[in-house]
Amino acid sequence: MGGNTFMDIGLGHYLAVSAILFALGLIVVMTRRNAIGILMGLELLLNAAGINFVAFNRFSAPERMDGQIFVIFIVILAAAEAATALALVLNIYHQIHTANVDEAHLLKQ
Amino acid sequence: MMFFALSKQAGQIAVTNADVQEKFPGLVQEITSNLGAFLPELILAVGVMWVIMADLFTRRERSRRMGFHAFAFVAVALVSVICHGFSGDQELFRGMIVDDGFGAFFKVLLLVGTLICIPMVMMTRSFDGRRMGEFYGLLLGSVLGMFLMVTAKNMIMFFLGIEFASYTSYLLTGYLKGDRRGAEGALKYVIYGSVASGAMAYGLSLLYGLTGSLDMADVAQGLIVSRTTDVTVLIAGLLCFAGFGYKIAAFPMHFWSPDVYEGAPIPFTAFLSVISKAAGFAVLLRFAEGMVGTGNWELTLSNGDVVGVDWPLVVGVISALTMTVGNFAALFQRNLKRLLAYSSIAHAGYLLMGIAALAPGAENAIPGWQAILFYLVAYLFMNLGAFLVVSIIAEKTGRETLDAYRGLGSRSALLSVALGIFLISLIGLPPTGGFTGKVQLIKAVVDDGQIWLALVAVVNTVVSVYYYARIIRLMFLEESDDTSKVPLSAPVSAFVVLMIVPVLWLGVFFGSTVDFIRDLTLTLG
Amino acid sequence: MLLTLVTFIPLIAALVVLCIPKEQKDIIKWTSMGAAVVTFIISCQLIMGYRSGGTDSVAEKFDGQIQSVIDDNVADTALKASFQKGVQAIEADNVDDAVGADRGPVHYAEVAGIDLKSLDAAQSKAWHETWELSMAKGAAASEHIRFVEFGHWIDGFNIRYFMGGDGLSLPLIWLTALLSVLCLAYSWNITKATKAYFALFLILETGLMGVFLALDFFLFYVFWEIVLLPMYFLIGFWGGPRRIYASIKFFIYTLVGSVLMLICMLALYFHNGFDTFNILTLMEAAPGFSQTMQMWMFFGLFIAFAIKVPIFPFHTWLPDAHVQAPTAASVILAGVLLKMGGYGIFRFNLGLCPDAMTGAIQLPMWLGGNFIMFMAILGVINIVYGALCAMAQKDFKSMVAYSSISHMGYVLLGLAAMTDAGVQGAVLQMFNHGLSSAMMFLIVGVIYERAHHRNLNKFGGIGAQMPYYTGLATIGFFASLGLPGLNGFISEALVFMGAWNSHTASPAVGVFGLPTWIVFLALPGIVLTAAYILWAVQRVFMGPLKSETYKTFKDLSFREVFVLAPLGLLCIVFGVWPQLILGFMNDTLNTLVSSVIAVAGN
Repeated sequence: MGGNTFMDIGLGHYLAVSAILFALGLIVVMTRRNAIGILMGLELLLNAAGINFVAFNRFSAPERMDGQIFVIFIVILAAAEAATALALVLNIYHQIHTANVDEAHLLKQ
Repeated sequence: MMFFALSKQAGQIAVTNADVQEKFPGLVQEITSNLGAFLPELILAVGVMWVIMADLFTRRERSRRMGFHAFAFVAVALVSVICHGFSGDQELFRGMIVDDGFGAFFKVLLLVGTLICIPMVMMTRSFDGRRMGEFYGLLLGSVLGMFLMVTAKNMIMFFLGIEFASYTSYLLTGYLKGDRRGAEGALKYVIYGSVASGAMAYGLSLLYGLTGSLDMADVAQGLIVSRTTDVTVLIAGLLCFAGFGYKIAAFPMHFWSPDVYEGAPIPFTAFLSVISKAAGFAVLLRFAEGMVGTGNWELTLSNGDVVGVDWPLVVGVISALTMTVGNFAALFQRNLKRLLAYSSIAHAGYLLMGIAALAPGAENAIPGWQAILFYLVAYLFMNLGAFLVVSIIAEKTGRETLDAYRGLGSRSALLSVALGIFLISLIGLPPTGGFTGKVQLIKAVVDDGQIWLALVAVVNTVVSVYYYARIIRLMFLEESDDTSKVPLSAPVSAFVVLMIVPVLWLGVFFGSTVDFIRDLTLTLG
Repeated sequence: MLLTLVTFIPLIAALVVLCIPKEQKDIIKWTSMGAAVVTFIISCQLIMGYRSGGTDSVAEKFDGQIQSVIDDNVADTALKASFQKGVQAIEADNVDDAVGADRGPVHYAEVAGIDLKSLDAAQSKAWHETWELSMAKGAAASEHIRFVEFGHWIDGFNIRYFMGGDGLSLPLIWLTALLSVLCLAYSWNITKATKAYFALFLILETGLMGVFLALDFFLFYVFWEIVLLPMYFLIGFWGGPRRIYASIKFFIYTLVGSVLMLICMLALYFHNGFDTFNILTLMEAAPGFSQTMQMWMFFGLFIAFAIKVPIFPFHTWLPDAHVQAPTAASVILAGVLLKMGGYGIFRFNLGLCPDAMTGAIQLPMWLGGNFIMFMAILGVINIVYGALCAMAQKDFKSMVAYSSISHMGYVLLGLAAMTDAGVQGAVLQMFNHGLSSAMMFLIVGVIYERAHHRNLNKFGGIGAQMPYYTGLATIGFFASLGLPGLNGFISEALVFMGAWNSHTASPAVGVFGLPTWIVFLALPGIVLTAAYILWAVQRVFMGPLKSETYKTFKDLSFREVFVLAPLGLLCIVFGVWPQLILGFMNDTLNTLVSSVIAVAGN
């Protein structure tokens, strides 16, 4: 598609971005102690998958819209997930007055 | 340039009304004609709304009656599934879901399990004085989500199904709002579950990229054609497996389950350990079977090279680790709910053997998926039976720890004998369904030539005896200071007996069930 | 029909007992006793029938079954003829001892000109069953099986309800029935949870009968496991102070063995497309198994059975279980349960791994070089080590328990000899040990009930106090010691004769012969046995009364005489007239040996 650098952005770049996003998401999930922080990491994971879907749709299988549709669902699911998870975080916050998951240790490891 | 690319694509997206007519003639008729096969799902969907709405018009102290409503809806759905039959072989809604015997079998399994769980919920006193409409609404919703899981053919559908079933499960785990254990369990569940589904979404996107389609059959087919390195396929597969693995609580995605099982209300723990797991296996099976069906499980070229990833080995290793981790962790548990949680991890490991042996060598042998289906039937009754007794004991004594079972043999013969039978079945000794099921699983792997896995399984069986037999020992061989009889009402006794019958039946006359499973249709597209 | 009755009458009685209210102890006891007596009578009938019956009726039964399978499923006359041709081909090979040949259903379909792919589902099932039965018929004839019962259980996996009695199993059936009656009589004064006790005992009897009679591997396995649970509860609930430890140890050891057996069973099922659990069919096909296959089968099955026998180094569960078990459970444990292991080795290891039994399969030197040496060495270790341990025991019951280990070593040594005398001696030793060890455990039980301890060093002078008891006890002890005129002597002598003769007789027919030094290594066992038994007799019965309380001991009650006297009598009868039981086993055992020799000949 031409020779300028702008045009050279291809599938690989998108995949790289999404992989970095996925890795960041995993790091956040694993290192954060605050439940809200973990939920933010989860959003990164889902968005990494979303970028992949769009990019693959564009570059590998442009004839059908499957990937784009999947992304729409991912966005909706992410919203639903956040609502569900926040409700549960709120529930535990009422009881132990913190959203730090380390404090939730009543159940044996 | 980016903008150019997008606008170019936008041109493709712009679809007019006329296009719909042109591209999809008779779409509306097609959808309505497919609704017949979708009736059970519709019944459940109506049920979800009904119990929530009806509950609004019920006084709080009568709210537990919603259980009857939910029970009725599940029963009607069950009847409609059975009436529809097990010989369907078609795609519905343009390949989103399929209508086949395999799906119908799992629907029946899920519904029967739910029918057993609902009375357990109604017997639980910790729910007293709460609004139960939401609980049953979520429960039915969860089953509905699982229906979509077990029949999904398109990855969008099946991702949606998994998430639907999961979100409802998170909420149900934390349903007892004042209960800190439940709240903690739910929090852990939602965090682990979301990470798993995030990973799975990423894995699915890679599969999509590798094959350019979201249809499972196409994915399986595409994986053969694609010339990608094994590593990419392996990573995509393992990421997807994270999602399945979390549903079935397989190593290394099992960490959530003991905490969640211990924190959740007992009837829902039972639900999670059996029904949710069965649904997880259904998707995993359909996914894997799709790959086997198209020969990608282990494609050997004429020159002897194995193309693609050696999935039987990968699954076999996961299976071995899962059962070993589950059994060894169960050895040290004092809380029976937690013990059963670990035991159900171990059972997921046994079941995974069937997936490792999906494509057996000999002609007349049982393929792994049939063994899994049979084991799930047996597991449904034995594990729910065990949870039923645990739930009755917890109601009567208020304890879930092993101490509550000391001397139970002299306090309630029925409960102790019943639990004994369920545990013997869980160990896998004749004459119970657990034995015949496990024999079939081991048979499948032996036939597939994976003797090492069979050996791991039998060693695990021996290990598991130690903790199962400890409960039997406590009940029958030790005496407790409390010798008061445990009173049981007649319906509850009948309920317990009803759970024993299938466990023993499957142990002695399992032929008809095996034949039934053999004749199921499996549509892979 | 008799086989089914003898197996399931106890189970039905157990179910009846479970329905009787637990206060009605007498009804419970008499129902159980009635069932056990009926079972015993039927087992006697089986024995009588065996002596008078011929093998022809069994062959006819097989023929009839094969014919009906073909007639029911195959309509086409041409196909029918090919089926018949296949049957004839199989029967010809049965007689021919077709060693090393492929004897799978696919092979014979080719021979008979049947195109398996063109058959429909019912027809290919029918062909499989025709093959299975024709093969089994061959083995049934050479095994001298005189009673069979055949039915379909789980068709999907070709699992049959297939029972049969031959010279190997029927003596053990009779022993089981006899000991069950005596044990129930001995257990008359059990007061703790009487109902459960008697019900479990009856279930145990069903399991034992089933193990000895089942000729379908799957069925065998189911019965094998059924034995496990009642015994676990009998030890665990009615046992001594350390009963819980002992019972779980028993349970886990046995389960390790049985899961190994399960794997072997499935491997056999899938071997060469056999798809059958029929033991006779597998035996008939066994000479065709590869040596590697036979080696692994032998190891798997041998360990499974060795744990039950128990053979060193798998024996450690036995002293614990015996010492803790209630007397009647010990009697059944020593008298019959250990024989399950011995029976299994004869039925499966001998029948399914002929190359191993000729010594043709090479093993590493540290395992003895071949399976015959392997078994002989383990047998000698059992004999000597068991006797040494028995001598070191202070506890009366654990002395008897170790003596069991020692005595079961003879079974292994006799089998390893692979001569007629050795093998007969081995099986006879199982039977005799069933009588004498049962008697010894009862003797211990009687004195324990009175003294409430079992410390050998604290007894003394009982002889004068309880003369009848002492008389009967002496018979039991001397039978166990192997005194001429009592049963133990015959079997041990046969084993030694067989083993001694082995190095000349066996190589002549191509079987590995035991070196003579093995016999010399085992001989100290006899001396040691005499030593610990005489020493025990001396400490318990001779000398002055060691405690004033012993003066209050009453001699045997009627019930105890009823239990002990028949056993004592049988020890004498089989001691002076061993042919009574030997003549009974000869046919079966000699063909077992000659079938192995036939393999060696090729």
